[in-house]
Amino acid sequence: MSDEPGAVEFSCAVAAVPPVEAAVGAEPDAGRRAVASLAAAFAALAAGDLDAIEAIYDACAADLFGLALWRTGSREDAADVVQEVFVRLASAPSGLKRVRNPRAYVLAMGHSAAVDVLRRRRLTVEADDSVLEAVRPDPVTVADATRASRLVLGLPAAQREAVYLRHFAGLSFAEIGGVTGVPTFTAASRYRLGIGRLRKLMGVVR
Amino acid sequence: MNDELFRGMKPASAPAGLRDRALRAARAAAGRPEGKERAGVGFTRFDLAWVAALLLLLACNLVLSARGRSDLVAAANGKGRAAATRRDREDRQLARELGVSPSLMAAARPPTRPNAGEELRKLLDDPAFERL
Repeated sequence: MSDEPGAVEFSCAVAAVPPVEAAVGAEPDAGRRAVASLAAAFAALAAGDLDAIEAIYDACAADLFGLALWRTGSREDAADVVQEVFVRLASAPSGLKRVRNPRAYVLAMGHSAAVDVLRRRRLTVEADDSVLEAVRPDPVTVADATRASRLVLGLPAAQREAVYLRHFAGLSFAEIGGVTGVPTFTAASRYRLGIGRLRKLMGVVR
Repeated sequence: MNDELFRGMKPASAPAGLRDRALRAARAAAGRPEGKERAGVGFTRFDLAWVAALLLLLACNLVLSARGRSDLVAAANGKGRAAATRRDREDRQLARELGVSPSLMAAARPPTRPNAGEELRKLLDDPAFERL
C-alpha cells in the first residue's frame, strides 16, 4: 500500500498474465516460428500476393491495436490507426522487400499513424476509453482494470506507449526506440518514468 | 518486468468487426497504383523536391560564377585600357615636343649596354667607391 495521494489499492487476486518475453522464452521454437511466418507473409505481400495480408493482420493486429489505443486513448482512433496501417501496407507492397524486422516495422507504422491522429485531433478530445481489460470477468478484477486504465491514461502519451511496448509487446528498449523514433536511452527513460509513476499510484511495492 | 503491476489484466482487445473492415480497406487500396506511379513519374515527392533543389543550386552557381568572371574581366579591361590610353597620349605629346614621328617613338626602345653588369661590378669593387 502506498502513501501517495491518489494511490489505489488493487486486489490483484488473479494470476499474472505472462509477459510476451517470458512466453517467448518458454517456447522459443514457437516464437521463432511466428517470426519466420511473419517474415514469409511480408515477402509474399511484397511479391504481390495480397492474401498474405491476412496472415500479417493475424500476427500483428492485436499489438498494433493495443499500441494505438495506449497512444491515443480512444478505441475509435485505434481502429482507424489499424486500418490505416493495413491500407498503407497493401498500397505500397514493393517497399516491404527491404524490411528486416516486420513486427517492429508494423508497430512503427502504427506509432506514426497514431501520432498523426493525435495531431489531427489537436488534443481537444479527452482520452477516456479503457486500455486494460480483466483476464477473468469477476467484478473485483474488472474494477481493478477500470481503475488501472484511468491511471494509465493519466500518463503522458509517450510514457504510456513505452510501457505498452515493453510490458505487453515485449520489445527491448532498442526496439522501442526504433519503433518510436527516439534513442534507446530516451525509450528506457520514458518506460521507467511511466512505470514508476504507475507503481506509486497503484500502490504496488517492489 | 513488472509482473505485479498489471496482474489479472490484459490490453483491451480490438473490436470484432475491425479485421474485416481493415482487410477490406487494404484490398481496395491494393487495386490503386502506388503513389509515384499515380503521379506518372518514377519519383516520390521528396525525390522531386531534392532534384529541384539541386538544379536550383547548380543554376545559381553557374549564374553567379559567370557574372563574377565577366565583371572581373570588364574591370581588368577597363583599367588596362585607361592606362594604355594615358601612355599613348604622353608618348604623342613627347613625340611632338621632340619633333619625331609618333610611330617611330612607339617603336623606340631604351638603349641597352651589353657589359653593364661588368661595369657595375668594377664600380662596386673600386676602393674609392667604398670611401664615398
